[in-house]
Amino acid sequence: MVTTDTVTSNEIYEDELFEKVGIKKELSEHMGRPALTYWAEVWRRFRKNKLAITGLIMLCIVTLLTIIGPTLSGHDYQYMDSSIRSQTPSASHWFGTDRMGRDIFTRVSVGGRISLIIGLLCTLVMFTIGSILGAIAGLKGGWVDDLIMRICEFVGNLPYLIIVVILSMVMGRGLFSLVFALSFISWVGTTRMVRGQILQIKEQDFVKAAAALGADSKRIIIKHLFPNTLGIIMVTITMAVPGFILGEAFLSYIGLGIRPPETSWGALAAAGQERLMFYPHELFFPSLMLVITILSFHLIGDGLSDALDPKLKD
Amino acid sequence: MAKERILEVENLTVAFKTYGGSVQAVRGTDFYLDKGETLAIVGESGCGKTVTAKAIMGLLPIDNTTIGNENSKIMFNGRNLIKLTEGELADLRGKEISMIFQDPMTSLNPTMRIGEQIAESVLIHNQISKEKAKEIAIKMLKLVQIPNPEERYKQYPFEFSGGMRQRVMIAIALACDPKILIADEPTTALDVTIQAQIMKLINELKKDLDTGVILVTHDLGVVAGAADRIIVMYAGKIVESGRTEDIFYNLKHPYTYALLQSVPKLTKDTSKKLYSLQGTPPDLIDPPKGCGFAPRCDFAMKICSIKTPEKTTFAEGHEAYCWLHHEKANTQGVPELILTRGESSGK
Amino acid sequence: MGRFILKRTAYGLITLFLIITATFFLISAAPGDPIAAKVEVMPERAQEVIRAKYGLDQPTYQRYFIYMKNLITTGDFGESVIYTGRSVNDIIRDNAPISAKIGIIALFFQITLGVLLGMIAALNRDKFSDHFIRVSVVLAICVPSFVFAALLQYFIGFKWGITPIFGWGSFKHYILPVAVYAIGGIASYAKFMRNSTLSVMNEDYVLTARAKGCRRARTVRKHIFRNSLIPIVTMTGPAIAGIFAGSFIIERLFSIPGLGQYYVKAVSDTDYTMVLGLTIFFAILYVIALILVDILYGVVDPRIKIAKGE
Repeated sequence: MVTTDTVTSNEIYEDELFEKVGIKKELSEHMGRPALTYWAEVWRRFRKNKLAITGLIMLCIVTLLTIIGPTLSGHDYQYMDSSIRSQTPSASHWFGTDRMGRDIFTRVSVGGRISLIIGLLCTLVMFTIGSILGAIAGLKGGWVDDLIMRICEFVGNLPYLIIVVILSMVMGRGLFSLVFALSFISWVGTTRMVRGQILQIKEQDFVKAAAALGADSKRIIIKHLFPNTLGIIMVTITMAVPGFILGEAFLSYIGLGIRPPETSWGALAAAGQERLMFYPHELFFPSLMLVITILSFHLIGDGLSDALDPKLKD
Repeated sequence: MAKERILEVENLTVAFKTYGGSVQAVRGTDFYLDKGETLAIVGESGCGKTVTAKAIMGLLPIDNTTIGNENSKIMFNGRNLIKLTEGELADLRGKEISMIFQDPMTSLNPTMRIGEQIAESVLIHNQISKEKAKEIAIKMLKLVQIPNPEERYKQYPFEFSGGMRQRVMIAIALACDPKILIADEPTTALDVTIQAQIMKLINELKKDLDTGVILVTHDLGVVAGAADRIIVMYAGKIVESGRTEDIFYNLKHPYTYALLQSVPKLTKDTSKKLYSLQGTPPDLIDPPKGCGFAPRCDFAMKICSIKTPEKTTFAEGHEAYCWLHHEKANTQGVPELILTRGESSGK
Repeated sequence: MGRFILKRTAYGLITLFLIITATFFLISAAPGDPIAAKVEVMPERAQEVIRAKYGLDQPTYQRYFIYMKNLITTGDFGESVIYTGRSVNDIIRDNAPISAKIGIIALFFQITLGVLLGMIAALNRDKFSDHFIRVSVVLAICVPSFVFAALLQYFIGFKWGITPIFGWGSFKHYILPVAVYAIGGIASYAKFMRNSTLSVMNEDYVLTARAKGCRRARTVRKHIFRNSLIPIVTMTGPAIAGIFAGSFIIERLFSIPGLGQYYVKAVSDTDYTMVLGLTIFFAILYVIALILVDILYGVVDPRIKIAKGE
């Protein structure tokens, strides 16, 4: 059966079909789809992710609200009017009023500024300390690297919340004390990540070759570090911000949050919690803003990491 | 000498669904395996050889793969494997047909003792006690020439070297005395000296146990000493098949020719540059009409990219699919070796 | 293995020492001196006793040595400055069990349900159950625990009256706090377990298992499950250690007389000695938990046991 005749020789082929053509370069070296640049490709994939885009839009709306909210409502966030205490939402007070008669919509807008600023500042501090230490460890190597990694191991093994509580208790309740307390021991992950990236780049052949030729390999590493790491950095940052916003809320709940008359979503929610059974709207609106903001950051972060690494998807 | 035919594959097709479209990884292959023989499937990466091997085992991902059409058959023991359920296949796997993989470093469960991994295979397929399974596992470790099998039984994969792990993989595969062993690039990830040891071990065990072996590889050097017959695949199709000596000394397809030219030989004139095949295999999402190799073929004719070439039979079991063997072919510049006609069928 | 535990314990002790020292000096440097202020208004005799015991008239570093000596030799965590005569040790003895109970029950649900849901999602990838679990996980991670607590208190406790809104005592009092405590953890365990299972499912050894004839159930049980648990164990360390820290807000929201509530109260009362004592207690638990988890890690992953045992 192997030798069965399968040739369909009854067909007659034109002679010209047997004209010699040889190798067809353009066909044999196809490159597949036209290549987009890496970031254009990332952006294309991100844009296709409906959830991530929804997150981005929600975040923009929330941010805009914290900026123009007080102007929109026309109320002052500190102005107390004892005649309109604890009102439910109405045409003049969209989110109702609190027990002092202050407009909750305005307070939520202003509180959002503090929450967002704390989230962003803490992330910035975390990231700055983390990348400087990570870069030093990765570039210097040797005992410096050992020392920094030991410190990381030590700091990473500290109980985060308790350290934050002690620090903010000692430092007080101002904006910068809060940022300091929340970000003081938060940089370990970033340090390890940056160091890991540098070591990885160091291992690449062209860097080794450059070093062997006596070139300043540090410059090369730094130059390649940024584009290589940018993706992971963006994901880390998006995922870190909601953590710090929640951290501030946590401190507000145990009475260590931002000092009045300043306020934040956490402080507003904590105040609302006490009167939950009778005036649930006081807790509802700040909580809603918190949830929307955190959800947005998560959706954006997820979308980013999917867009950066499509392998994970299939 | 009438050999017992243990596996017969007819018109096997495999297609994967992907984002870009359906990849036609295997596009109708026919071959067979006799008891106790070694059949090598050779080709570049992406030519469909591993997919063919996994299709026989039923190991391709179920969700996005289409295996075979109404004419396709993988006949084993009178049963068409394509038609079997996952459960029926599981009963066959490891017992009747076994497989070892390319990378022994990642192919063993890191948290399970070596011995238990061998014994598991025995336990699944036989109604025996754990003690008996352990005995068999230790016997298998001995068989694949691992020293101190009793000690080694209790160890974990990370305590074994790459070559040792591949021996363990072979022990797992052969523990139930299967009729067919599929070895997918069994030596590619190993050091050259270890490669020879592993191939020697596979050959010896094959003879002792009378197992049929399907050796999937891109390395013609590995094939030369081990295979009885060779199938050369390109772009999801068989381009040439025959006995090992046919393929090495009497090849009939330009692709086989190119493959062999690119193998370094000790006897060759070292002043000459080693032949290297230009270009890349075609995109199988949109498989080419005609011969898949045409765009890279020095001797391609117009017809090659229009019509699929017909089968030409040269000697018993030696076949090639190439238009050069048509009577009207333009054979200018084609090496004499390819052109020499054996007995041609149909003309 | 013995050497590894020893080394890990020594390391833990150093960590502890540093935490205690840092906390002590930080708190001593805190604005105002409530300790001195408090002592001033005490009766003469009480003042003398306190001064003698804690060396309040001496410089900070002297007080530090006295405190450390008391802590190490008698296990004395100190005494409240606000509520005279109440020692930190009493508070711990009376209230720690309550926090521990809630924390352990919640942790149990976190791990079991989280691992289970993560496995289900991974094994049914891209099917309905996977999508459902993933959406729930994102929501659960994004809703802060106090919001979740408020929802449960308002509806289950207040509107429908199924459980008490807050307080402590009967079995029913456990339901809401444990649910609030567990939900976030369940979500993160499920998320990690899903990822970890998916990556294990792509490993070559799972293909080997199938190639030797393991059916799906056996492949999952024998080859996928244990290997996907390895990263989960690392997560469990801080979780066990965080049992008490996690109780801060929940005990406050539900008025549960646990250690967390006392800690928060001490913080808002600026009861510095109480804060110091409880912080040290939390730190000790934390360090012990981390050591235990390291050992557990070795049990799950043989590579680590051997490597560290050498």
